[in-house]
Amino acid sequence: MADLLSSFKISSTALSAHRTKMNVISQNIANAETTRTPEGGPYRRQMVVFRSNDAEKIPSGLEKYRKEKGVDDEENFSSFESMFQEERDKYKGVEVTRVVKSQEDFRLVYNPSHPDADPVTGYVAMPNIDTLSEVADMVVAKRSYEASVTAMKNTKDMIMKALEIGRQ
Amino acid sequence: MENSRIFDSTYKFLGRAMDVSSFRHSLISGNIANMDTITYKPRDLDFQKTLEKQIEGLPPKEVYTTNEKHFENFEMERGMNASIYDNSDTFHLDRVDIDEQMSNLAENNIKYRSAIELMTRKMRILKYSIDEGGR
Repeated sequence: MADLLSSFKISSTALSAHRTKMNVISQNIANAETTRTPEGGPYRRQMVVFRSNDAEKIPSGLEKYRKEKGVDDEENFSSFESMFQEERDKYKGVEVTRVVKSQEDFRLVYNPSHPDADPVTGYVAMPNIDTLSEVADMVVAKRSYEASVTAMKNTKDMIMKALEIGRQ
Repeated sequence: MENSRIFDSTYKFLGRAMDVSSFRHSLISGNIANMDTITYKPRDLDFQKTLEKQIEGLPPKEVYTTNEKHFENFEMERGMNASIYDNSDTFHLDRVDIDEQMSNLAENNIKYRSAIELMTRKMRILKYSIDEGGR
């Protein structure tokens, strides 16, 4: 059976995932006019890809320990292993698998005096960022974050209530 | 705890109710965490199906014990199944209905708290009798 602390972990994965999304959005908005990047060319819009965390993907503390210490004592650890396995299976959080770059076309703005303008046509390639949709994405990320905060508050509430059993 | 004269089976059932609620809570938080994950299918406990399985699936004692000295292995729990429900609304990529999840969260929280409240009151009654009615 699941304990409430694993709910805490699940909600915290959501918090960190949505914070990452927020960071990426801020980066997009900050770079809405950037025409020079280390890779060359204008800045490309970045997006996060969320993925539901598979239980087997998250290494248990024991596995980490064994990998670090190189312990290979199956018998001593098998019962612990199953216990940890059980613990892990309850886990179903979210993670940011990668941050992808949008392959949309750049916005072309006619500005011949700009140093990065095409010398022939006079058009400057601007980042493919629509500030309005970034702001809309930001609102969505904020709401998702708040939803997880509410879930976390509920978890805390339940735990605190459970501590009252047997008091007075 | 079953044969105890102080703690009756109500404690066990209340404990189970809390177990189920906390499990459901973790499922709901998982759904909320994945509200922006494309292709994620929300999960929930299917109480109705579990109850049906429990009612029809419990064989009489003669069937599952081969000797009369066997213990009667009555287990209330054979696992609440966490079913994945598929919203057939394929036009939306995100299948988590956040309003539904939030109301489930609140509802589940209240259920958990009421189980605890019942438990606390039972404990209070017990304590009262231990105290010889407050003397």
